[in-house]
Amino acid sequence: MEGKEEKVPAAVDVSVKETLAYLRFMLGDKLPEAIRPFLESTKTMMIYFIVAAFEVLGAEDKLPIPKENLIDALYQLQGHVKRYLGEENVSGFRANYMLVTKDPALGEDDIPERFHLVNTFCALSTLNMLGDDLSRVNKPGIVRLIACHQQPDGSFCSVLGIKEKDLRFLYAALSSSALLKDWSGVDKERAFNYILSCQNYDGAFGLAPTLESHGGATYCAVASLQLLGRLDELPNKGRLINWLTTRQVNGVNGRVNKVPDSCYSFWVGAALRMLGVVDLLEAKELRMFILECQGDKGGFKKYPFSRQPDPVHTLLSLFGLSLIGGSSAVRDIDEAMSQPKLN
Amino acid sequence: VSTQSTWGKSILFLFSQKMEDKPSFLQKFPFDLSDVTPLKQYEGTSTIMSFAYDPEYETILDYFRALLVKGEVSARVFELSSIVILRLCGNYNAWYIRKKCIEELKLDLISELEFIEDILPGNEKSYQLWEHRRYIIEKLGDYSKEFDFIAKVLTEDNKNYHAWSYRVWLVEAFNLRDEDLKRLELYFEEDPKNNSAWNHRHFLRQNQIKTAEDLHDELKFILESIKLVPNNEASWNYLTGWFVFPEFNVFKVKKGQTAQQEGRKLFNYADFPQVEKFIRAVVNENPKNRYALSTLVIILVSAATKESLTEALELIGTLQTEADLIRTNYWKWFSANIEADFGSLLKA
Repeated sequence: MEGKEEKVPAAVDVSVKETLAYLRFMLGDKLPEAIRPFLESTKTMMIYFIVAAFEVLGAEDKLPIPKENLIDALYQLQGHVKRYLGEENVSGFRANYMLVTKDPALGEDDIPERFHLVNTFCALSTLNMLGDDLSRVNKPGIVRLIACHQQPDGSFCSVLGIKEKDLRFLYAALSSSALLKDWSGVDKERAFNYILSCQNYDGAFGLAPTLESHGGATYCAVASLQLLGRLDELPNKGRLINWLTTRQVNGVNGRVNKVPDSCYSFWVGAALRMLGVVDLLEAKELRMFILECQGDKGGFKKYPFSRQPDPVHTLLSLFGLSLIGGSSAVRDIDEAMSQPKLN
Repeated sequence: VSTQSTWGKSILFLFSQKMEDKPSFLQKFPFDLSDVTPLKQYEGTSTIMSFAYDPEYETILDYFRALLVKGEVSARVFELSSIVILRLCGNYNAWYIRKKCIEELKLDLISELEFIEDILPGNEKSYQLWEHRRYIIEKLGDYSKEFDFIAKVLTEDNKNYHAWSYRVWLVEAFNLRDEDLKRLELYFEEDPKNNSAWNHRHFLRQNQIKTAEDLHDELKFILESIKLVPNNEASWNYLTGWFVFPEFNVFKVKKGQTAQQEGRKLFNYADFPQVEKFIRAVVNENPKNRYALSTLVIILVSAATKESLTEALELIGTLQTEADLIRTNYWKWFSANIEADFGSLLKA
């Protein structure tokens, strides 16, 4: 039809078939070079985002790979290092096979890998979602990994030998401990104090002390306190709830005076849910915004005007819809553990 | 052995160009690798999220693996790390071996700053890149180029979280609070709505604002900014951040006590009447300015008299029905809490 370009109205609900097709494509073979740089270094995390999306859509039977094969593949990413950077007998999960030259089952790796806490958490979470009992996980090894990542100030670094340390890796350490049902790798008191040290003048949290309040960091803080069972001890709740609810423009943004982005529907919404006040969000407007971020061919984008969807925004949009009861296509979620509620 | 910047630049040139007659990786790479047996990547038993590696990238990684197995630290490993990083900036293993080469071979640090600038485009949010710069500057002990580097990144995106976080590190490492406070003024002139700048100001000022006199001074800056741009959430948040925020009973952890956070000095609105006066003037000008209205509500609830609370509830009515419609649920909840906590006082 000729004439002015018309704004395509948002879909009425989640386009489940198209979204599943998108997710299957992303888990597939020979993904193009154009998107490799966005996925390769955090591949295990991307797998988590995609599998969680299948699960929250109740579509685990539609995974492109049989569950057992996916579970085996994840276990092949598990590594054990006898000794590196002064630490002994540490286990963790890799992001990818880049430093792997042979089947891990054949014995010790040629190249000692340094494991990233986020990829480790994502692997554990994915295994858990797939119904695996984690019996092949080297639990003591991973607990040791967690322990040696904790810093004197209570935070956790991402990878040994790297200075990057903030609330994200603290959350990954705590949620991993929760999945393993073993908290011996965490100094809980120090972790608690570090979380509180990240609270800012506006009641919300930055990634590290004094850094700008941010929706993702705030989620990590609140969820970590929830996992520690000490959310009732969080100060300045009134101010925090004010900050969280003022993130909503129509959709939700992640920082003051920024444009709404679909992923904050989850980070901010989940924090509000854990504080018992998710109903303070305006659900209709938020729902509409999230659906405007849906891709023409499924999946969800960062902004309505973004060109392509991605796995992170796809999952978090679905989680966001779940939190506000915005779609019958999505299951209920465990917001502190950032996965669908498992039966 | 020190790398000259020409090496670094030509490496990146060779490997970022799409060359017409496509010389092979071994032809382009300036070091001899004939003694190295390339090692293939293990593929796992199932194909999950595999990438269509171009033959050159596959070869680069095959040699990278082989050299890592050897545990080699050398100029050729250093140069190979450049190419691996160019292909995947988030590859922390490549940055790690690069750093090892710099340390053990005592390579030139100024060239490293140039390398970082060369690969910056598209990688402004790469944690590894910023950490590497921090490492180099710490070794050099010379921060003279850093504000320009930060400014370059912030020109593209004035809210880049990594850039502001690096700035915090820089200020603390070299004790630059006063100098940076001056520089920060440029950001307020350019974009007063930039919340990252306001947050940074709080970081610079929080140890300096201790007495009432200190805050009186700071208030001049804040209120002047709000006067110029009255609908700026960032400046209003910054304002309220210096004062106590009334906490409802529902959040009190023990009898009458809220959870305390140590170390943060907060002031009382009652001691700074110019704030309420200023806000009422703003509301007079624009009765639907939601920032002014909600801040006035906070001040009135803090005062906790029958009159102030009654007025607070009226203002909330305006917010709920006209000025802040998207937060109708929030304001309903807020006024319900006022009724719960102050019911008897209101009825008196």
